Amino acid sequence: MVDRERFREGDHQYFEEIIRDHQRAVKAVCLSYGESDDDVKDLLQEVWALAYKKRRSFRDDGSLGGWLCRLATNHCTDDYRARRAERKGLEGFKAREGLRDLHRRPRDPGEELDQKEAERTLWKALDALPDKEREAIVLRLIEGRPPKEVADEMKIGKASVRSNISRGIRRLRGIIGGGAEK
Amino acid sequence: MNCPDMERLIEIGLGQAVAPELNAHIQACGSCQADLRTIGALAGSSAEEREMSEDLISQIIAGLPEPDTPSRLDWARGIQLCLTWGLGFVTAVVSVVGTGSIGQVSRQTALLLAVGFGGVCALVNLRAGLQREPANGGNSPPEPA
Repeated sequence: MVDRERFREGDHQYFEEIIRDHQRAVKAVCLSYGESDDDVKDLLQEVWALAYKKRRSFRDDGSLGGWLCRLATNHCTDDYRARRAERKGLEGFKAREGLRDLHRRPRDPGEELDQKEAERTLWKALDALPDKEREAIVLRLIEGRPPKEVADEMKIGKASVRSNISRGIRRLRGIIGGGAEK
Repeated sequence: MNCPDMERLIEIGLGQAVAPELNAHIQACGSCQADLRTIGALAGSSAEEREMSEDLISQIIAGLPEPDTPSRLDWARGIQLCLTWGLGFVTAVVSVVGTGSIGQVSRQTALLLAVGFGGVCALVNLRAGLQREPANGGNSPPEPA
């Protein structure tokens, strides 16, 4: 269980525990947005620094995993957009200067790009789910916590955890390509 | 055979063994396959892939700003809120008396309005204070848009 007060106080030792407990959710998002290992490392550092900075805005009624996942998705999406815009501008400049071929960045294989794009779409769709569904999915599936722990963290029953996950998965199914279901 | 419940599918997605009978059902069931694909995408291929190195965790912790000192902050915040409330109260009283509208409303109503206005000012101040970021030594990332 997260000690919300201690988290908000900003004790470094406790924050380290939080990083260890919730690293999977944050890294899963960063892996989808980073284009290289260095990118992923930068994103991880930025997201955790941002989480520390914004720790006081963490509400009492949500789970920390869900909050961190949303924070990571928002930050990574903004960063991705900025990098894409910057690259677009740079490519336009180089084209005008006739240097495009000399400076073109090496591209990832198309398959990997498609996979990353699909993952980014998934994180955005997850971010758009109702809070309880998103939190249950993050804690159970992404962080791999047992149902009892998820129920305790979310302060709901195990049956509610199950139904929130089921509803969330069914909503996300369409994104992965299995056909949306109401 | 009926579709297994979501928890069973999650366990399978997280790597638990599948009984041959259930496996046969999943191979033939589009709905279970779609659920498993979604679960697989969320759960990732391995837990280790989503863990950070000790070095990186140390770097992150080393880069964090020092936490605030709560006691000093609480006193400062309390005094600030009282002053804001007082200022709001005085402003409301001066406004009511200054515009000559004291004759049109009862004293109790005017007092209530002034207390209320002071309270609103204090709340706005409190909210602004909560949203204000702590001093961070300039090493935090830019705000998301």
